[in-house]
Amino acid sequence: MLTLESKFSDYVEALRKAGACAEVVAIHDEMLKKNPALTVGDVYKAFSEDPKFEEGWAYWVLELMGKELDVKVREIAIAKIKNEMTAFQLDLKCSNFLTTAEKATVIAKYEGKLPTAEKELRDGIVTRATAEVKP
Amino acid sequence: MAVTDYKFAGTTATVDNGTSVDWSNPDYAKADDTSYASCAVPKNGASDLLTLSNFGFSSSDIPSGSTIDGIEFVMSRYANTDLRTENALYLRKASGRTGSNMASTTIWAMSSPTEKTYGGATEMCGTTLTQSDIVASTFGIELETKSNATFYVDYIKIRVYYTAGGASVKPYYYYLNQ
Repeated sequence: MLTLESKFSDYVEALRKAGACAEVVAIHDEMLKKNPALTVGDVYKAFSEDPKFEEGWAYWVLELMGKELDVKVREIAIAKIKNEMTAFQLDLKCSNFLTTAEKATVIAKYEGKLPTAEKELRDGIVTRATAEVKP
Repeated sequence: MAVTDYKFAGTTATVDNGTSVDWSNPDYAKADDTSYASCAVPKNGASDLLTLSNFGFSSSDIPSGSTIDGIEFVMSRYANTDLRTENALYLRKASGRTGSNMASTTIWAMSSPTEKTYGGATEMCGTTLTQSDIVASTFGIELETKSNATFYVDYIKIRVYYTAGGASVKPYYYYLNQ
C-alpha cells in the first residue's frame, strides 16, 4: 500500500507494474531523476496545487491502481475531480475498492446533474464494478 | 399532452472548446443519410463542441402559449474504438448552454451507427423552456466527446412534448349561463 510517506520511486514502480504506458512512466522517471528523495506526498501536493494539472490524471491513476493507494493518497486524487461525468465514471469503475466515505464524496460530485446517466444506473443499464466496499 | 414530429438541425458547427480538436463535416449531422460528422480525439483529449441548432420548430408545430413538458432527442452515433461514450451533451438556447449534462454512459457502437434516445415526455433536461425558446433558431444541442477514438454522428433529431395553452379564460357570467 502506497502512502503519502512512501518513496516516489516505489510509486513509479507500481505504475509500471500496473501497465502505465511508457510515455507516462518516462515523465515520472524524469521527475524522480531530478529529485530521488521525493515522496508520494510531495508529488501529490504539487499535482493538487497545480490548476493546469487536469483531473483526467486523477481518474486515470485511480482506475489504474487506486487499490494500491492509501486513502489519504486517494483523497487528494478524488478532490481533483470536478467534472460530474468523470466522477460518475469513477463511481462505476472503482466502486469495488472505494470506501463508503469515498463513494459518498464521489457521488456528491455528480448526483442530480446527470439525468440520463443516473437513470441508466438506476435501471441497471450500466452497473458499478462489483461491490466490495471497505468499511 | 401533444408531441411534435422529429426535426433535424438546420445549422451545425464545430465550436472551439479550448481543445482545438475540430469536428469534420459538421453539416453531415443534419440528416439521416449515413454521412457522418466525425472527430478524431487524441489520447487524453476532448473534442470541440459539435453544435446543432435551427431545428425549424414553428408556431404551427407548438402553438404560442403552450407549456413545454419534455424534450426528447435521438442521436445516431458510433465510434471506431470500443468502450467509448460521450462526455457532455447539453441543450442550447439563446443564452447558450442550458440545463443538465444529458450524456449517457452507454457505449457507442463500433463500426455501424445505432440510435440512442435521450430525455422524454416529461424530461426537461434540467432547464426551463418556453415555446419561444424552442421556435428560436438558437434552440439546439451541443456534444463533446473524449478519449482516444474517432467519433461519428449521423444525426441528432429532436421532438418536443407540450400542452397547448392559450385556452381562453371565460368570464364568470359565461358559467352562470350554462
